Amino acid sequence: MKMRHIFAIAVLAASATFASDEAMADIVLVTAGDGPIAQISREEAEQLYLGRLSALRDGTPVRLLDLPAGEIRDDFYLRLLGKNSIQTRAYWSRMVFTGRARPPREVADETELRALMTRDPNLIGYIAEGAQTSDLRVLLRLPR
Amino acid sequence: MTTRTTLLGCLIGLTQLIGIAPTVSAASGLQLSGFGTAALISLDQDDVFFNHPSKQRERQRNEWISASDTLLGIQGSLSLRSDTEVTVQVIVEENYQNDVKPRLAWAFVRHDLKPNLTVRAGRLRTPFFMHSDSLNINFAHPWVRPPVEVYGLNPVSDLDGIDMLYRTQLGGFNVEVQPYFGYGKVKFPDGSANLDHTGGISINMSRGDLRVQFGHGEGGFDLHYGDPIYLGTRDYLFATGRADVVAKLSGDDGHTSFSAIGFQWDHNAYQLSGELARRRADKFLANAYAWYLSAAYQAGSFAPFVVLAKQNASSQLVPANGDPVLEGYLASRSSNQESLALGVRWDAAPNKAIKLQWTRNWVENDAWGAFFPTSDPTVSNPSGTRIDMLNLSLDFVF
Repeated sequence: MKMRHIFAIAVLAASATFASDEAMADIVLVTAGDGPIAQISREEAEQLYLGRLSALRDGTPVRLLDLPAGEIRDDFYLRLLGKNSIQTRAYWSRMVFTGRARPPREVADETELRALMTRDPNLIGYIAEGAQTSDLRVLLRLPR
Repeated sequence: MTTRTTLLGCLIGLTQLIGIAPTVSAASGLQLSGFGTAALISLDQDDVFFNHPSKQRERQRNEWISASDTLLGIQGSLSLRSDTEVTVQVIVEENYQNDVKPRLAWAFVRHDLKPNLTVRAGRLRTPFFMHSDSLNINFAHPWVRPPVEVYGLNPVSDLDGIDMLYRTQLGGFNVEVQPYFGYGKVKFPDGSANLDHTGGISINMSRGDLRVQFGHGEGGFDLHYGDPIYLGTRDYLFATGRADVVAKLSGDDGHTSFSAIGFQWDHNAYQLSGELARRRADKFLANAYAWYLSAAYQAGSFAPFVVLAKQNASSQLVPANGDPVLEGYLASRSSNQESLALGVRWDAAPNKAIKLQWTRNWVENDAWGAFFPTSDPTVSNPSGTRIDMLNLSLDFVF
């Protein structure tokens, strides 16, 4: 049991080092193109991804999406909140398990993020700028 | 196989599943998540065992598994409406009777009155100190556990009642104001403690790299002991005509307060944090203060840390006047000690951290610190000893 477990952790640690290299582009905060969220201030975006707000100041409810653990996600939190991935995970574990906030829903990839946004207009999420299509509205740009 | 080995086995088995476990069932609005710690312990002395002052228990039966640290938490949240949800968190750990039984750590209804104002009612946790409400969430901390010197001041972690979370901004600070009111109780081997009509406020301020926390809470409390040391001391005091002293040791209708100030500074790879806390009580517990200072440095996925901590009594519960029986009793109730801890946290995977921590504990002469004797305390006990402790733990969230 013990050795198998150590081996499993070593494999996980190794696989984490082979991340993709997409995060050189700007990262943009997006929502459905025809959704009710017209704009978000940087301060609102920070408060939302810190779990301190669950709706916009005007009362519009917002639900958050997260990309899977990886370079784009790490870069997003670093650029928006100035927290690295380890700090972010420690912070969010406290927020969730002290009943303060629900964590962002983690999607499998950008395709799922786009698919979910067409179904739920109150979702926001982030992607690396690039293959954008007209079905998304850019709310905030986080330059490199 | 002992109960504890089974618990550890379950924890390790469960962590294997984390990578593939679904955590969100968005369609139903039900969200399941969890956390846990599997910890090993080794002491350089075999006549004492580690006894977390806020998690008192009988002598551990397995000498390698740290029953004070090992636990599994499962949390379910169900949205009733977009502004209302029910959250239940069950913790499975060894309890005061050496049983591994689930217990409710949180169970509340939460309602957002405004986007920045939340009210919660049900089973909450006493938020006296900076990490009080995340005491079991070791993944959120750099250390194996929050320093026992500060966190052992308050034995009652559950609060059945109501609180509010008001989030605002003030002078560039993100501010969270949390008033609370409720009742709490805890059982320990041959005894119990209750907090009655306890209320207070916790204020959390953060700006950039800095987080500052102020807290004050107070209320009535009862403390009942029934262990052999207490009973023997009580009979001895009655026999020597000191019923007034007995009334100070155990009973109902005490008053207590907890105050604390803490900070955390996360600057690039550095994390500095510290806390100063004070406990006052008019009987049953000695007035005491405690503090810690912690420094950590993040180098890749490794974060070495160092912590210095101390708990000290600011006044005696009752004067012992050289009476050896009373002195021995008071020592058995005091967790005063100092410690220096060195360790490293390794974030081995996005949701797993492995920690190795060495702690040198200096137990005060008139105290047992965070330790209990394994045999007859009149022959050998932790008072005035230096105890080295080594911990290896795995924290996970899913």
